[in-house]
Amino acid sequence: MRNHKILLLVISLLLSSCRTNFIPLKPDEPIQIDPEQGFLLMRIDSSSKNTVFIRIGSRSPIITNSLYKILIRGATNGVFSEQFLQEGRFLLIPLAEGHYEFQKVEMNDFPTNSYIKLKTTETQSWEFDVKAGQINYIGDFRFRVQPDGIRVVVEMANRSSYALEYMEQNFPKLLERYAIRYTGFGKDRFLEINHKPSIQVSEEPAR
Amino acid sequence: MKHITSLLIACSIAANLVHAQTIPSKDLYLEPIHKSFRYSPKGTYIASYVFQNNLYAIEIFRPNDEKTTQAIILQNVGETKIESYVWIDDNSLVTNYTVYNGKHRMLVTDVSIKEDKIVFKNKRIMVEGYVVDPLPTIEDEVIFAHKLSSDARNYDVHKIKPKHFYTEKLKYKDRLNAGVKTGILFLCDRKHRLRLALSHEGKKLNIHFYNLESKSWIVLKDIIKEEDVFLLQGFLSDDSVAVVTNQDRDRKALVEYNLKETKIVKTIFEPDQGEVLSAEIDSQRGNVMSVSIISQGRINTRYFSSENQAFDELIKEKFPDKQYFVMDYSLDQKYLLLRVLSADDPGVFYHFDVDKKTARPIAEYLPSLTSYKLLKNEHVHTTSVEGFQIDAFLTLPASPSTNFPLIVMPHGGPIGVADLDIFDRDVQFFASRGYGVLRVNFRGSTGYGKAFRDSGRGQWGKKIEDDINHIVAMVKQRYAIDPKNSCIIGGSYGGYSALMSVIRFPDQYNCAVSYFGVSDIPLMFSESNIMKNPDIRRALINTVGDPNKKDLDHHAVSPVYLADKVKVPVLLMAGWNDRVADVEHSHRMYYALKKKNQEVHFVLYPEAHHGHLNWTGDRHQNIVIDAFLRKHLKIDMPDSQTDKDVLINEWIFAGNEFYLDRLVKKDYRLALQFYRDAADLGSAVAQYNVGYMHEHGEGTSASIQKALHGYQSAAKHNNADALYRLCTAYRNGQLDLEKDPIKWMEYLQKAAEQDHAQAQYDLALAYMEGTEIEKDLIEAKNWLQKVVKNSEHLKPKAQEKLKEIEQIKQPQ
Repeated sequence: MRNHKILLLVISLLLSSCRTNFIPLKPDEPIQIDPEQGFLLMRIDSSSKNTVFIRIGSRSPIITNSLYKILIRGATNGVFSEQFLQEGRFLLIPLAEGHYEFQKVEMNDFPTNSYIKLKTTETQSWEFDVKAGQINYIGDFRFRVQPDGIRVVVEMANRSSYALEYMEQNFPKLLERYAIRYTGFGKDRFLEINHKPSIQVSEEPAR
Repeated sequence: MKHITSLLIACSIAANLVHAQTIPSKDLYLEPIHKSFRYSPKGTYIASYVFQNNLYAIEIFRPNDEKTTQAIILQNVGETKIESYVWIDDNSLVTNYTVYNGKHRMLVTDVSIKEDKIVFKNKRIMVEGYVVDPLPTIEDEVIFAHKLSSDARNYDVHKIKPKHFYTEKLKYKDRLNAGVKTGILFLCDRKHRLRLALSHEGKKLNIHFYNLESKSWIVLKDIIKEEDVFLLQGFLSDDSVAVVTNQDRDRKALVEYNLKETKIVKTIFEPDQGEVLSAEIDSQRGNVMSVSIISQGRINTRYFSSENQAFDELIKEKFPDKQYFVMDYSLDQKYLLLRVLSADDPGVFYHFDVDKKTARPIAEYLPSLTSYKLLKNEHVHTTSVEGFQIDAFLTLPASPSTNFPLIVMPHGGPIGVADLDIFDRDVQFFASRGYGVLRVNFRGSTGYGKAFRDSGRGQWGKKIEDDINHIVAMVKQRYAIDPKNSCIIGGSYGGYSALMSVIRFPDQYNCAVSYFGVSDIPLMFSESNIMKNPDIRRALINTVGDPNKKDLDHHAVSPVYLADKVKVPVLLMAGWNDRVADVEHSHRMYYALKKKNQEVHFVLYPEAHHGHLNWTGDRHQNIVIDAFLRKHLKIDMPDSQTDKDVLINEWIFAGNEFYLDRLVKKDYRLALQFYRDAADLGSAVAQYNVGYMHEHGEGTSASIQKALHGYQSAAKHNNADALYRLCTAYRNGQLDLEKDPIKWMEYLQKAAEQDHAQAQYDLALAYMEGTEIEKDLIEAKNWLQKVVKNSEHLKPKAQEKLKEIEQIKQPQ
């Protein structure tokens, strides 16, 4: 019986550490989501001339204090990896409905591999909701390295109009079928006022 | 201080030099060279914080003989800046500065005179901290706040000998701030005893007072009420301080505050009109020397002793119609450093000798403007519906016609900010270009008392815009301004106000400009996840009103949701890194106006915050605004070529920045527009650029015909690039031109004569080869030698060819 308990604990630990590698949709990619799923939309804003480039030794690559991973937990635990975290990139993924929070951001600053835990406090929220059957824009992930190359500022910025413009240009068919709403920190009706889906969601895959 | 000689000369001949009406933005938008000044205790030296040629420096000047030297020079990289500097005796200056990576450093500069020259020696202080009190009357001792670790904001305060600065470990006897945890700021009384401290407890700040009787530190609780001003000016006695405050009164006054009793015991000075800004306290005797008052946008100084009043009269007699500030004075108050300025004068710094009653200029605030005619303001006012007086400043254009265009510039804030009747770069920029400029101190502005200030709260898009409209209507009537020839422009709240004004008063304006502006009030509560911070939310509610109140609909006063009511062209400008009015505000407005098919332009500055990082950004911004205004207001082009050349240079500069994706986000369409405008005024450079962009289809569809027209127009003015492009076109049969070896050579020769390095190299090769023209190695050599001088890029190739020629001439 005791062995069973240990086994269950190990399994549950393994399960909890399992993370989905989030792979953003490409423009016009056909997608069919389950009724209990919605879409998560966010953008990477890491533009900073202060990003520090250090060359260590002649053979090592250039090391940048840039984004390496963004970890999210909630109904689904997942991670956005370095390959999708370029400056200005929008990330659109299907995701199970539920309450989520950012967990941590890892930096590409070899050899320290530092990270920041993103914890909701009384002065900053790292939580958001994904509602089924809609595109949930949660904000721009704003990442700035300070001039000393060590300090980093992270924040979520609500740039809903940019998100709407992006979706209109890259996923017009998806916008016809799904409402886009802001579900990051605070209330904001801009998307609700400026976008209404024109057709009912059917079983046909959208493009 | 090499500007002194030039200044003295400039003063005498300034009248002859005053010329061009249009002030070039490159002369207006410059960082002042001298930022501040400090007398050594006896007034032997003046130290000045200087910024010039991208270097920060501490300059030491001896007023006695005008000798000067730069003691500390720092390159402007990263976070580099000079934070503070203080004389600890007549020959030693302590400077705190930050280096590129944000690390703090301290230096002691020992100054002396050797062989009639100022010499100095810099010594690095090995500990971190700052001088709290230089103890100018006590030999070889200072009160020093020693930072305990580089991370924490926590200091120990000691009386030390400066020689101990140079050791890693400070030697001291008593800790003066024992009993104050996490103290960060400290103040001594007039007897140089540490008496006040500011500490932080988490994010809360506490004020501590050292009680001489109980010999202990006491926390002064709740002495400052929220929304009240409480500015400490200095100690008056053992237990009382002079404070500028509006606590328990409408207008800011100078009061005596007893720290033991924690209450105001006496009103020292309350002006009949306006508010007290600051006071000068005699640090030795503890009496009030003077107060600075802001009244109707002007700053005046009021003196108390008959000696000082006589001094004030003397200054006013020497500088009639000017305002002045005392920037520093020697310990015995025999020397004073003044900045004398006015709306039409950015200011001159004077070394004033009280005994001799002489004022000697030591530097100009903006020497680049000496030769331009700057413009004064007219004070206009009206009464609001509620009976408040609303002040405004009207700057008439340099040569006002009867129907000059008017631009209205509401200030930012809107609470606790005000426009002043002093020199303002933006006002001079627009007024010198022919616009009348109106700035309004609407309700909410500072300098008019608490009731006036608070009456602006929650009045976004309402009574504030009523005030502005009220005075705009009055000015238009009084000055016979064409009611259909005005535009409203502003930054931050001013940008919001511009948008709301064209929505609410559509007949009043022809266009609107909002830079770094707000356009969506509800967005202010959700623009970032740090808006969860209750302190930030409270401050925001205090300004715009509580969104949870039923009778307050922020959507109804947000331009984004009223876009269909905007009937005039709009220019929006934003900074990507703006953390006050996020770029989303401007982009939202842009999106909403585009959806309504309304004319709108959006200019994005990728590195800008809530404003530009340097003056180049301001310069570009205002050139773009001027170009926008010229399209939508009736304004004459200047007649003189000098003024036209100013506009040409500015439009090429603006076009280049749009083209090169440097200061502003790349926009070929706007770049081409600026080049076209400059080309129309006859600029050969711009004509070439227009030709190039048409040839390559940049910012427009490709047009060989227009490209050729651009190149040919520029070539008529001997533009080297255009001549060379026509040369290659005749060589290769491009731009719809037939191959023509004669014209090819003709244009090649012309381009080479205009110092086009590639043309010179090609021409040299042609002389070497002798195919299109007669072979001539001497000519070839001459042109190659010019290439070596003119082009680093072509230099190696030219040198190779020169060797070839030598080998041909001297066969072995």
